[in-house]
Amino acid sequence: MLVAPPKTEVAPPVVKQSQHPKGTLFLIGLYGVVFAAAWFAVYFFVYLRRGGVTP
Amino acid sequence: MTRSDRLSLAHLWVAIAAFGVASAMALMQALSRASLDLPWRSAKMYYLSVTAHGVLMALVFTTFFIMAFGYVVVSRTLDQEPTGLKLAWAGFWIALVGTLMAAVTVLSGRATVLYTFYPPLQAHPAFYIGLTLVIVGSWCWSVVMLLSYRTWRGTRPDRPAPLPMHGMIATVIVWLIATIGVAAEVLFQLIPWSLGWSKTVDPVLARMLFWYFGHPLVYFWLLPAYVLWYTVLPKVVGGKLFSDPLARLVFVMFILFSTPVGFHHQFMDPGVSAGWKLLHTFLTFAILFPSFITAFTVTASMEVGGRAKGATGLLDWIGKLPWRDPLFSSVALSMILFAVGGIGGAINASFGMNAVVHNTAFIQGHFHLTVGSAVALTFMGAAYWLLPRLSGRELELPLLARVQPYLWFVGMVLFSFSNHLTGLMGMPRRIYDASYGGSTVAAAWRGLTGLSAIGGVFLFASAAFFMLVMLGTGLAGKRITPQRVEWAEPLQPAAPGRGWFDRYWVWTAVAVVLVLIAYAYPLWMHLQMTRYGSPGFKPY
Repeated sequence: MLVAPPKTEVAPPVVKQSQHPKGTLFLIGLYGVVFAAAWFAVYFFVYLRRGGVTP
Repeated sequence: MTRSDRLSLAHLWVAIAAFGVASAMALMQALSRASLDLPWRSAKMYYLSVTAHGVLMALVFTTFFIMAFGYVVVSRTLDQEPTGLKLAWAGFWIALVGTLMAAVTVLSGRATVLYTFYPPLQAHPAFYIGLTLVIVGSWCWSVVMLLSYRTWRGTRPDRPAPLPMHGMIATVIVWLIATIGVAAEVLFQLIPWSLGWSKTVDPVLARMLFWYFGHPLVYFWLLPAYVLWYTVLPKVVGGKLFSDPLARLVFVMFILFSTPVGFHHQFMDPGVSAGWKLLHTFLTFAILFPSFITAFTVTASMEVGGRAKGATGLLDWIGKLPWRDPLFSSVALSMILFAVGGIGGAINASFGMNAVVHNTAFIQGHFHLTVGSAVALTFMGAAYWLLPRLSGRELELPLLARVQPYLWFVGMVLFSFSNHLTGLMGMPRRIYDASYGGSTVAAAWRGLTGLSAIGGVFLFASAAFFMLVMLGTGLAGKRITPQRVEWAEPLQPAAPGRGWFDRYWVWTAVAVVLVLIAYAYPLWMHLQMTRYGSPGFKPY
């Protein structure tokens, strides 16, 4: 008589609670740099170059 | 199907229909701006389609989708039907009648006033009355949402509000405060003026009231998208919400700071002094912070999900995310586009720098990354997730659903980035013919307007895919037992009691005080000045 092999339970994904989200911190930090760089680029190379007029 | 699901579905289908019509209008505009010689092309048709696209996409699609989602949140987080179902249906029919009135008026060429309906451009009274009915319908929805929460709170006085409901209550509060402005503008200025009861209108006052409403309108669109990002996305990626308190704090910050920022749309307007404009500049920068917190918390939640699937490196968790799931890809791609939109938003909001982008194509490039991506793409992704769960039908054409968010992303990159650049080069927004009669300055924009048109074609194809999936599912989807609507758990359990974040009356009172500080004196000053009214103009 054939006996079915015991089913192996698939463990649910383990959600680690103690780790810092290093990848997220890296991405957010990178975004902060791009954000500031883009703002200053428009400020220096577009706004000031056109005379820096304030309404 | 429950009575609540039938209510949600009715709203969802109106949203989808509005989206379909608005998308068709958008293609015509993108091709027209590239000066393609289309047989039906005319200035009249162009401005009619800009108005229809703006009204149907920004006011109708969003509002009906948000109302549909609000009822889903009530029924699936409070475990009860919405309190006041009759009022909810009354709100639906009132808003639908209003939508039809406004849409017919626009499409018949009697309300070519753009979605901002700035006077002295004048529309047929049916347009203003129709939009008023849409707002009244949304107020019915707001009351039902608040009554439902009160019913739930009555039996559970010591529990924190479920996070999705917390976000939707914040949405309702922002909406009720914001719509006071547009209601005052339409009821006391535009309807009497369009009916001929008053000969002239004060455009400066109308613009102040419109932008009192117009900027928090952005957060009315955005907050339900954030609810999805915080409470559904972590579940879809197999993770958990990184921080429940940070999410609650974000929604409270939006209650406080959404409204007192409208003058940053009026930096070039007379009638508001520089000091008040500068105050609104600072407050506008304050409203960037909850979005920064959201970017961190939602991305961290995705990282939690990716690491739960075995990722160990700095960024390899990104590859573990379910990029073939249309809800996930919609939200993730919309977040990337929104991050770029945030940079443009900071430039718009800078008091001095605004002068170089004001009323240029930069603005339409910007808001297509915010409302056109963060909001619309999230809502499309959510529709793939919601429709089968509400209708009990399997999602049809899943390949199209899988491809559609990527098409939207590519189209939006081409469309929006080229508009940012042409805007910085000086190209105005809302122009029918970008060639300016063959001027040499305008010739420099030519390649980029062509790129923008190609982006428009991608976006139209994406919108068509979305419509095919929706219609295929709704009309021919295989009957299935609907999956449950499941919400993400936080990484750390939420605090058990009813905390300060749930004290909505307190936050509403503080928000009203901030609104009074930001608006009462400038409005009073304006009303003291000699005001010059304008008659109405109907160029088309």
